[in-house]
Amino acid sequence: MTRPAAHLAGVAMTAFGDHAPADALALQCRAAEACLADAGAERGEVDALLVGYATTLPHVMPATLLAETFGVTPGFAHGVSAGGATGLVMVDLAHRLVAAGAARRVLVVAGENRRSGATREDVLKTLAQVGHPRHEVPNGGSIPAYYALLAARYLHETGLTERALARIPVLLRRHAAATEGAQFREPITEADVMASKPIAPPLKLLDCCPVSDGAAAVLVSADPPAAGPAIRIAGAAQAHTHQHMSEAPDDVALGARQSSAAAFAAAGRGPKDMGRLGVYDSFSVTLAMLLEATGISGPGRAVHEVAEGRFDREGPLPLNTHGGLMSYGHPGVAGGLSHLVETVRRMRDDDAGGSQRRPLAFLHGDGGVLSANVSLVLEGAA
Amino acid sequence: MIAAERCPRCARHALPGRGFCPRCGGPVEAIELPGEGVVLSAATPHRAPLPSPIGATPFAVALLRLDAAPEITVMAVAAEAPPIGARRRARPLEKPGRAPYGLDVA
Repeated sequence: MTRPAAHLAGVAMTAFGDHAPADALALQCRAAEACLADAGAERGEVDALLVGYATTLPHVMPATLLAETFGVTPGFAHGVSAGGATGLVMVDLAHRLVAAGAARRVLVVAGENRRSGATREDVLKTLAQVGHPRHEVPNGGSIPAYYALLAARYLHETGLTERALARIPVLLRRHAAATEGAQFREPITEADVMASKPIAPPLKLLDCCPVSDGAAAVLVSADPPAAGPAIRIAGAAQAHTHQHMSEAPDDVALGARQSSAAAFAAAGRGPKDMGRLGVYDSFSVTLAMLLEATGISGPGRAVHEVAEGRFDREGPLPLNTHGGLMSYGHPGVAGGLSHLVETVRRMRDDDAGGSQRRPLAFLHGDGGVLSANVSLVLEGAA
Repeated sequence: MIAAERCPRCARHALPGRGFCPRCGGPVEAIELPGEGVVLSAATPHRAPLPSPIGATPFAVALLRLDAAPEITVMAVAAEAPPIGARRRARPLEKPGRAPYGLDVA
């Protein structure tokens, strides 16, 4: 029996930024509605619902809650929590449900108002969970410090300068400048990045993604869409090597190496076959490390390839063409779904425009401190 | 000295808290290890939303790989970031077996 293919039949995302007074549930509903409209699908078709956690709406049953509010009665409803990896982990789960014949229309939703709606207590509580409660948190460090530890090690091992990493935020801002709905669209230069406020050197404000309101939704379907190219999930894999920095392997990016290799193998493809990329970019250093760990760029080479234009919108391998988390925005789980929404839209455009670009895309999501890793390969067919 | 858990069956060490070996699931012994090791990384946050034993920023956090058990990485706090590759000695600053850990020159 052939396993049904899992198609990206519908994609949607809100602008990311400040959506006050909309709360997490309202934002989730907005994205879900737009997604069904994009897919030309009806509420009654949705037989599975996956919803990412929302730090501004902690709830023991986030999927059942959205089902009630939005108006679906799925046979499978599941809240999902894997940090920043949650968006693509949900898409991986949707693909496995469809391949197993357990669902035909999986609606994947994420959204929250962490910019306009988070109280100081919410933020502190979330931050306090990032480090190991016994062996790390009492030292006083938190997310920027942990990523600065990664960045310092990365610069030490590659011999690159702090300034070389600055090319990454500049590229992503250029992409956001051309994208409706991006939170930050004013162009920036390397000098702007270097002059931005130090957060935890070598990381400065413009090396870090913002905090945003926003939502995104995807419909994963056992059937190709009625119109446009059929874009299916050709390979998917995860790797979970650690939670906390104290427990990470010496090769901190080992999980990304593993999940990407497995996803490529499942798709029968390699990094060189890809036509588009969506890679998690919480910080400039995160993107550099992930591009290298997933085999897209050689060790220490990512920033050079940025300078060479390899990842430009019109370049050989466009990357995070919406501006990524860094400039489109980061509302939490929806941030990790936005790269997939953008990639599918651009693959549709490629198909409609008769582009020569290979209809293959690689997506990678990361949660914790390179702790949870998820990789997807998308393949389009006219 | 750094409190740790050691598995007598597979010799794997870990910082205390599990009460079992994460490799084989077997029972562990509570031991103490010398805190000497190599600095893997260090950073100096300018903002710290959570309390630190050193007080207000700036202060440094560092990762130290223990000589006595390379599978143990200790996160520690210091007044200044040590260079990567430098040798330091970690020790608990308040209670044994938990952060905050501090760094002395080894």
